Amino acid sequence: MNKEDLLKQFRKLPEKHWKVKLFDDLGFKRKQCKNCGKFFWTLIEQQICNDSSCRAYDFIGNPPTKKPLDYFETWKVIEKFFMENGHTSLKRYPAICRWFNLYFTIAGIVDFYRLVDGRLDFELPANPSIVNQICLRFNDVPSVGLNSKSYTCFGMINQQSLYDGKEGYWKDECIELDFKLLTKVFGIKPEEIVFIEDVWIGPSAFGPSLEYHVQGLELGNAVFTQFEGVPGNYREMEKKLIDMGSGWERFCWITQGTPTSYDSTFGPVIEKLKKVCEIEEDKDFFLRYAKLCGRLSVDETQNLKIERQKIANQLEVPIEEVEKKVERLEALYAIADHSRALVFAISDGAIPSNVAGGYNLRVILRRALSFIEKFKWNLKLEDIALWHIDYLKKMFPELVERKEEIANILGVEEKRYKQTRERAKRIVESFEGRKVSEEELIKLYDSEGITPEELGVEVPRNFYAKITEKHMSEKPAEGKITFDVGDLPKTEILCYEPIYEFDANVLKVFDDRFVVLGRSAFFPRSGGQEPDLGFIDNCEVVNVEKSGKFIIHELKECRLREGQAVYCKVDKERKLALTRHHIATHIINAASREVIGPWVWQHSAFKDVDKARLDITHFESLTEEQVEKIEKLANDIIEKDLPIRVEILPRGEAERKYGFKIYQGGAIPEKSLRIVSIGDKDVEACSGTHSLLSSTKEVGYISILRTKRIQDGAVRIEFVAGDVALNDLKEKEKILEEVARRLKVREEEVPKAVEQLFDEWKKKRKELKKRRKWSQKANGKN
Amino acid sequence: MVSKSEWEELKKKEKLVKEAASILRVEEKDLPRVVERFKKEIEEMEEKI
Repeated sequence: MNKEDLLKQFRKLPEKHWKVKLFDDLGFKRKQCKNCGKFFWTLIEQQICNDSSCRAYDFIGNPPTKKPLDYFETWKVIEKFFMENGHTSLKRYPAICRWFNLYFTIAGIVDFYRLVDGRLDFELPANPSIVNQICLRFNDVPSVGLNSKSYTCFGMINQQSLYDGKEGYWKDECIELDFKLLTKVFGIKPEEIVFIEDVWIGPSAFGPSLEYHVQGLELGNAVFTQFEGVPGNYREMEKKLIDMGSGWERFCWITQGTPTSYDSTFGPVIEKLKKVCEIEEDKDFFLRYAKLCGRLSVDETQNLKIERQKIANQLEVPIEEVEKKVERLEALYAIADHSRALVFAISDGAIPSNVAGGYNLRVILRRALSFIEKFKWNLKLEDIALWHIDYLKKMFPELVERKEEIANILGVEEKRYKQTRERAKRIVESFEGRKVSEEELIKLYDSEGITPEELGVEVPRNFYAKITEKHMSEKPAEGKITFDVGDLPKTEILCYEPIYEFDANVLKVFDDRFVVLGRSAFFPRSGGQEPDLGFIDNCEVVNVEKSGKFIIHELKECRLREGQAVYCKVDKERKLALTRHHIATHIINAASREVIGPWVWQHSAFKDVDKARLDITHFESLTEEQVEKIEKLANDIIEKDLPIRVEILPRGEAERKYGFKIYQGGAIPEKSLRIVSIGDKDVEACSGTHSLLSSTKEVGYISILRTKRIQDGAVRIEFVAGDVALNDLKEKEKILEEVARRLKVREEEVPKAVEQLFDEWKKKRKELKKRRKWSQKANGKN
Repeated sequence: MVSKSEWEELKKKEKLVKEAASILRVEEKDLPRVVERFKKEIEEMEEKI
């Protein structure tokens, strides 16, 4: 069942799903919009709903609120109201979502999303609460700048209440509070407020919702997350959730009544941009135009040109003149939005790249740069970023701490962009006058970074949604072998204890090689750590995997039967080597972040017996100096003999205590987490066997073998630790001794002697070649 | 655990091997074999010259 079908089903019982006490108390009536067909609730006799597609932005130039508020004051009055009404105000979460299978925090409620066994779960640190969450969305990129309300980076003020009949509140109180906020705090007349019926379908949960609109502008949407499952197969949730999301920028805009919300949101940044770019505004024209442009959404509008033509007709101005008057301003607004999105994304630990979430950041970065290039503006993204930081610092002081890194990363990206422009220009010229298909446009963007705007063609509907949506959510985990072991008791796990020999019972044997035991000290492959090996009786264990609550042992040859008592032996040396490499991985990760910058995050990792590797997020190759610093810092941690602690904590407590950096290996779908800390240097949620060692000296020294940039935005560090590292260096010592002996020099003279040998070899080759040529010539003469 | 001074001595030697291997653009483990080959080729070329 899709959204439309669900809406139809709910509309059979509108009083049950949407009617709230306030509607009865004040006399709100249910109507159907003559224009769009939506159902809405209003206090006055009106034929159309207040959605922007049906009504102009009448508040522009004439705000319906009692006084104008700036961007920060707007949040402060909303926060004060909710706190006075029993809500806890929460600090914003990162805009880069580490705790759920999304790259970005796309809505305020995502702060509290968690997955447990494939089902949606909520982690609310207080109930009820509000949060002003900075969100990033890339599904409507080309509308940014066009319609005054679209952003890739925006503040969603979220009001949430978990309701179980005793704690929290439900629909009546939610709408009563929101109505009070609009009328008492902002001074909007009750008859100006319209509630539009809608539904919301999320991951494994859904429910009805009420949007509230004032004079063409949707200010908020209260979602009543009430049902678990999917439409058609669901049940009422024991704990229902109020999820009311409202637009920070929109509330600010409606109090100021400026021509666009970009003017009220970006404040001095937009003024500076207009000044630097020498934008001359036809203020009277733009005021009239701005009221009508709410319907311009590339995502929703079949044809942007047709909609613009309608506006031009209403204004009685030729469309060419309309476009000429607004295109530079629209580009400037897009640059302001895109640069602010990059400020928050980089500050919260992401970097533009060609892969995963970084891809979307590069999309907006290049779009902003292509506007700057098109209009030949003397602008640098890093400068605009610093203007944003200066404006936002009173509410987001964390941006100031990151401003050098933000400017540095934007500078590197801008340089790269310019390096590719010559080639891009030639390609654009080759397409002149040609019809370009959507597939070609996507390919041109992916391979050359050329946008449809640069080619001078109409941006196809959903173009940016198509190229960005594949980079919005994490890909599901690779298909691992799953076993149907039937109705067995879960395996008793002993692998985190220093147990290397144990007795157990065989519970199940299947496919003649897989065995489930009642208890097991074999560590299964997980978190990038290779599995323990050894013997069950005299049968060799060649692989160990986890499947749900069971440990599955794969045997080379299975001579076991169900019910048999067995004696098991884990390869202790292997297990300890794997553990040392796993702890070394955490140490290298922490050292890399300290040496390179806070955007360093674990991209992936692999720990084997003979070596380990850590792939980190970083935008360029590491220098020799950086590698030496990382290794030195890692070995300082080893020498300090810091304690290695493992604690099992409830998920919410772990997040509050240590922050989201614990999710280095990605989101973990569990209610309690195994938290591994190495002194005060590193804390991560991790399933590895760290508990077998008690302090860092037991790991032994760490030696970095090599590093390389493996893809755009990721650098690989290969290393060894402990005895493996020592043996590796002793091998190299032997090599040095042997080369010194062969060249008859002292060890420290080897590089110089090798260079001389190489020069001698090249010289002799040249000489020999010359002689051959000379003798060929001589032979020719004879 | 090996002593710090011994570790640093070994790391110094590793650096010398790395430097020598990068001059000849070979892997570190191949360094002795390649050095021997160069020596031999120089001798052979000298004979021809």
